[in-house]
Amino acid sequence: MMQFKNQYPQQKVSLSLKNVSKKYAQRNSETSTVLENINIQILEGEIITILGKSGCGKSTLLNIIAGFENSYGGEILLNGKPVKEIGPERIMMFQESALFPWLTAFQNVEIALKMAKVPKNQREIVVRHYLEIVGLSDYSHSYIHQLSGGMKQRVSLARALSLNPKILLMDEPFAALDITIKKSLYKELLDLHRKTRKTILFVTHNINEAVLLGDRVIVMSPKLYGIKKEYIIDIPKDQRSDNISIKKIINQITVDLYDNA
Amino acid sequence: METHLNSSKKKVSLSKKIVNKIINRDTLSLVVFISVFLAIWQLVYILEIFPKLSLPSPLAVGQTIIELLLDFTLIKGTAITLWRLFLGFLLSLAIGVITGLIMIKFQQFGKTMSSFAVGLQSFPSIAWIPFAILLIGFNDLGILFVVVMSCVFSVMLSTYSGLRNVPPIYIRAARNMGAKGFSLFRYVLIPAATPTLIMGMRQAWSFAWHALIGAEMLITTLVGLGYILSVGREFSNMSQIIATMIVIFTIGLIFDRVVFIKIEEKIRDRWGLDQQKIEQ
Repeated sequence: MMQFKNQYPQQKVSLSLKNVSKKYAQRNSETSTVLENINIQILEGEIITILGKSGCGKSTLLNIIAGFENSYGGEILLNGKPVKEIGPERIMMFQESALFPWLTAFQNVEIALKMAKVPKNQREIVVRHYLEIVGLSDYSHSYIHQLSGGMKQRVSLARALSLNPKILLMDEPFAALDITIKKSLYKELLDLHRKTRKTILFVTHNINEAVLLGDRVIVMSPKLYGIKKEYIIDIPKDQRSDNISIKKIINQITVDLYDNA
Repeated sequence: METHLNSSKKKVSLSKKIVNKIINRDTLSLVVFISVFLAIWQLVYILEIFPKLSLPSPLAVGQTIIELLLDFTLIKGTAITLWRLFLGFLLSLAIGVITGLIMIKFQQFGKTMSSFAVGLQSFPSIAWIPFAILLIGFNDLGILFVVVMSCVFSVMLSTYSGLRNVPPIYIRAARNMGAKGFSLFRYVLIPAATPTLIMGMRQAWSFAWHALIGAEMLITTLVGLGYILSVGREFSNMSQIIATMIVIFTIGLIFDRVVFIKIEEKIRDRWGLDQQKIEQ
């Protein structure tokens, strides 16, 4: 495995996974291993993309970090403190829209703040702010079914950001969208990241997406129950499309991903 | 100039809208439907297929309706019947929703109770009447008992299944945002279960309505639409029977069309459930 290099030595570690393992109990009292001894360190403000075929445990890993999985081995630290339960400081964005169809776009963002018991007059300011950031101010009174797939994910993003999480967990959020919408959302996500410097852990099975977005790309393999290789992409993110070295990295990762080990 | 044009255009479209609302296609077809029905009835009456005493003319029934309205028999009967219906329905709603919630909270109880409730839901409401008479007696409480027993299980089951079928991703997302216990319930589970709940309530309402008229006919309390029906039978007064039937029909129709359809439409619209509408 490539040695992890700290690009910004002054930066603090946001999330760190230490020997995280996950086994599922099966019916015949046997267990099947999904993840074994995963070690990852994510610095504050980094975008880490986790790339892997289906069944490699990448979504399981995200679920463990979010607190959706109860039993796992190892330790997860967020800003040096162990995390145990589900919490709004680790917000998950799902592949399919987890927005509530009985609420408008505005109310969908607001409900997150309601649950966090933010007072009403403050809620309104925050909701307006984040809907504006994702470019949906004009659609704040639309119900979810009136929005396109890309708009839905932008509302989800606004909802996630409005809670000001320490880390954003994204579980293939753009997988169901078509390519042009994807491209504009990549740009928006990167713009947003430049402004907010949020730490992002982004899971995907799309190599282009992983290389385009990540400061580092972690390739996972189902055979190894964990990390196969890690790539540091130190080409500025606005110069990555149609870049020759990026294409080389993509080719290299493609080989890694499909060499059956 | 332009603004003037616009405003006059608006006026035209507004008045058009009002006219359309009054004489829309649905209303028109309803009028035609009723006219055809009355014509067939009149024809059957003229041809004397049934003896004139057994089947009075539409006009005679109309007269009876007016008479019964003028001497307040129908108005009083309708008022009492509706009062019983509301009372029974609200009581069933309260009991049904609370039991449904308990069933969610205690899973094993929920499992057992739901199979009982399914059985009791299809139990004929009229079969409760002898039991109610002997247990409670010939009074309003007896009628209320029959109404509640015939519709509470629909409310219970729809609460239970509505809550159980909330998509797990909504619950996950909500818990992730910090929802716990009551706030999860209030902000996510209840609204997500609402469409199912409304359907259950609509069913419960019609079950209650069926049970109530039956109970009023058999548990004699000297008031109510069901009682007027049974009096009509005793005095072989077919006009009164048909007049009361028309009132019962109308009340059922009004509630279904005005109350429940409106609520359902609103929810379908909000949730975007009408998108799969079959193209005509």
